[in-house]
Amino acid sequence: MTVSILIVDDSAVSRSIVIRCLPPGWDVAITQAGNGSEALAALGEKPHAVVLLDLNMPVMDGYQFLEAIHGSALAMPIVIVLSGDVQPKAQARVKQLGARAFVKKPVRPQSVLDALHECGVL
Amino acid sequence: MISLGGPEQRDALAELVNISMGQAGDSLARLFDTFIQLSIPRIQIVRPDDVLGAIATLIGDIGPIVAVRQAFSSRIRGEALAVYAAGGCDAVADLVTYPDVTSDELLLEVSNVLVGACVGGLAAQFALELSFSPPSILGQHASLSALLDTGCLPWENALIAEVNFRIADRAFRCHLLTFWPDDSIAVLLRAVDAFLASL
Repeated sequence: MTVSILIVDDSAVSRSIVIRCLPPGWDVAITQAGNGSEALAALGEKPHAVVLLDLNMPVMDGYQFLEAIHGSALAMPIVIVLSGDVQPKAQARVKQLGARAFVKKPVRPQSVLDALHECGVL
Repeated sequence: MISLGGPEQRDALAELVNISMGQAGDSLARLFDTFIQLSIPRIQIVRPDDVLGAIATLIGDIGPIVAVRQAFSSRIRGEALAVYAAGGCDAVADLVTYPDVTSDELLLEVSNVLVGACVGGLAAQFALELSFSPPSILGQHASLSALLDTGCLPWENALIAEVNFRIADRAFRCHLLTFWPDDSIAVLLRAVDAFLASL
């Protein structure tokens, strides 16, 4: 079954790296968003099973995005944070806000695979 | 005038700066045992006449400043400038677990950590090793313009990358500016192209 994935990152280069790090042959439908606000709009249009979320973004950052989902009628998707901000407190804070896994940038195929296993997506 | 190449190159460079800034923030978080708020990297190319104006715009109106300067070199060279509001790290000195550190020592230590992780981390992503000069403290605003007028940076264009670090509820803010002159911009852009080609 096709899994719908929403990739949220202000860097197009970073989004393209994430896409290349997804497991080969995995049947996915990918939507991209440039910040948290665009991601909320995308979730409002249709549900996504998995959100791959950057933290440090303009307009609405990853933390604000997680808080906004809590304050909305939207169902919480499986959120995996991909971030260059690798502070332990950043990891703890996003987990508290409902993220299921944390992947440190630079993103590698193995770390994405591990996170997908950790969340039970694969 | 030299340019940053296409939007993809700027985007890639910003992302690589973002990753090295994250490592710098993590080092700082460990030093102060607190959460560090990171900015979104800003990158631009300026001519010498425009540098002071560009710096003023990047750091905003933070009043009197104190800055720490550190040069770096190898196949790529440049200058790093850590700019703080006057008082430097005094507002967060109580968070540091070292005993008996002076205000200046803390300022140098924090700057050294940030420059090493940010600039060294960026270079490492390009497999470049850098050597760093010892950090030196510049006094107030006048010293900043003096530094840039002394011919220390004899370039036509410089790439400026700026990131900043803040601590919530504390009057602490550090703007880390790195200046890369023409020949280093060319090396950086070739490295960015190689990175993009490797994707």
